[in-house]
Amino acid sequence: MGRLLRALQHCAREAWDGLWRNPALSALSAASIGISLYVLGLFLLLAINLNHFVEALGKEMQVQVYLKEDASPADIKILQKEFASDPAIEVVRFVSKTDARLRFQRDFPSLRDLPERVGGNPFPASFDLEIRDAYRNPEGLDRIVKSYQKAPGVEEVRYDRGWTERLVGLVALARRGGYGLGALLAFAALVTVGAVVQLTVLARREEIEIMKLVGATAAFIRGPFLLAAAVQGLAGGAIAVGGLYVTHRMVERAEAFTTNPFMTIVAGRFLPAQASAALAAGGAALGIVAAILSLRRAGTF
Amino acid sequence: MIQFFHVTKKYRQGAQALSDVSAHIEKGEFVFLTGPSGAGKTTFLKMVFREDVPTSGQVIVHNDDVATMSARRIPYLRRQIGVVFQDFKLLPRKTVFENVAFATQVIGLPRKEQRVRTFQVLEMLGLNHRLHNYPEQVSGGEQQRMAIARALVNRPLILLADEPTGNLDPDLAKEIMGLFKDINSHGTTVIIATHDRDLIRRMSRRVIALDHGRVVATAVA
Repeated sequence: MGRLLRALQHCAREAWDGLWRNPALSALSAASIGISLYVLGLFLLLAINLNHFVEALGKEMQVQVYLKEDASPADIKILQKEFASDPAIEVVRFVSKTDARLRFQRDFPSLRDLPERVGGNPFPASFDLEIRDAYRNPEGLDRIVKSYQKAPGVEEVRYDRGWTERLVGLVALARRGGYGLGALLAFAALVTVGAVVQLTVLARREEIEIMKLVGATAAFIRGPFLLAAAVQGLAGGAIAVGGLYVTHRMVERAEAFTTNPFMTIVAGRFLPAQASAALAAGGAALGIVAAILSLRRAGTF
Repeated sequence: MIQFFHVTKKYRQGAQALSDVSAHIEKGEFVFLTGPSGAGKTTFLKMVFREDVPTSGQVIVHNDDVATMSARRIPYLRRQIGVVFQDFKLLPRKTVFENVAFATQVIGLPRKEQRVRTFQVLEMLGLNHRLHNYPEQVSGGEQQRMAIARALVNRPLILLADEPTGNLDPDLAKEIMGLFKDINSHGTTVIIATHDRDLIRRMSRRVIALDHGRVVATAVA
């Protein structure tokens, strides 16, 4: 116990000395890790916000069953019965031709007089179907479309699938872009931190050689380097999270944010606490990996 | 304690440092390793503390084959062996005290114990008035004694010294040899590589003579 504690003490003391022996190099390591995690975080932030938007959109997603002009009251009755017994359908709302016209006039006030100008009411009556969560996926929706498309009195069944799919694709793209660019920058950080560790090892080569000759274990020699790299990585992670927060606040306060609803979509919320913690931990891990690779190459053992 | 069985060492450049060397050194023995420069003395010593491994043959230290020993165990072998290097290997940015205490720190002794042992060994070697000087501020002889102090501070079972009197005037050399004798009398196995014939004659201990990497004689001088 005493021995382990002393080893840890030694490790902490040497790591601290190492960090301050060349503050500029330590800062370089932390900054390179910070930048890579910051960029990764930016994309993550974008993906999280887009994802949130897609989810919100999904909740509102409805299937519209448009009726033919000549649909009979009997057709409508049969349809209503079928909807009621369909497990995928949560809520059914009947929209008459008049309702449809009123809704259009409400949603597009500048085109209020359009129906009159085209002569009469061009809007078909329809059923708005709200779909249960479990069925709100491509297969579930396809099934609904297929089962009602050919029913008597039905003109067309539609849902806004293209839009959602494109958004989901965008989220995936943002995430992939983030991972790709993040990985690239993480690699650059790995090389930078590794080079810094190697410089430190080189500067202390004599000392390390003598330590080995008098019986120091590998852990005793490497420990301080690993700890110092972990601290640099953690600092880098903290820099990244701090930088992301500042960026987020700046976007939030920018004029464009309040006037352009699209900005709310891309930057409405900040990273959850776990993601921030993961970024910082990722920084520490990055530092340690760089140090291990570098120590191995430097042949400290 | 230390056994060499048909040990041959070839370096990549083709130079043969040792060829078919066999030797036994008993626990508590005091042995001189002699021969001209390049005879293989340093290589012999390096094999004992696993700084080097044989190309063929076996080196057994404490019943362990050093060549096949796992990397994990090497530090523990070295903790039982004190080495006085020909070039001392002192750290220029550490004081006399720190250079010696360093070895105790590495093996994880408690702080108090580190200080006590370091003071003891520095006093024994007459360096207690030099504690806070740096290597470049002390004489060659004192640097040599620092190196010896560091080799002894962890109370090794084996002491290896490579030309330990090379930089010393005859009086000091005699004193240092007296010290080695003392250490040996407490049970430490001592192996000294030297080409100083006078020294060997005065001490009358077993001698292993090497020439061109071969054992040419082993006898009590």
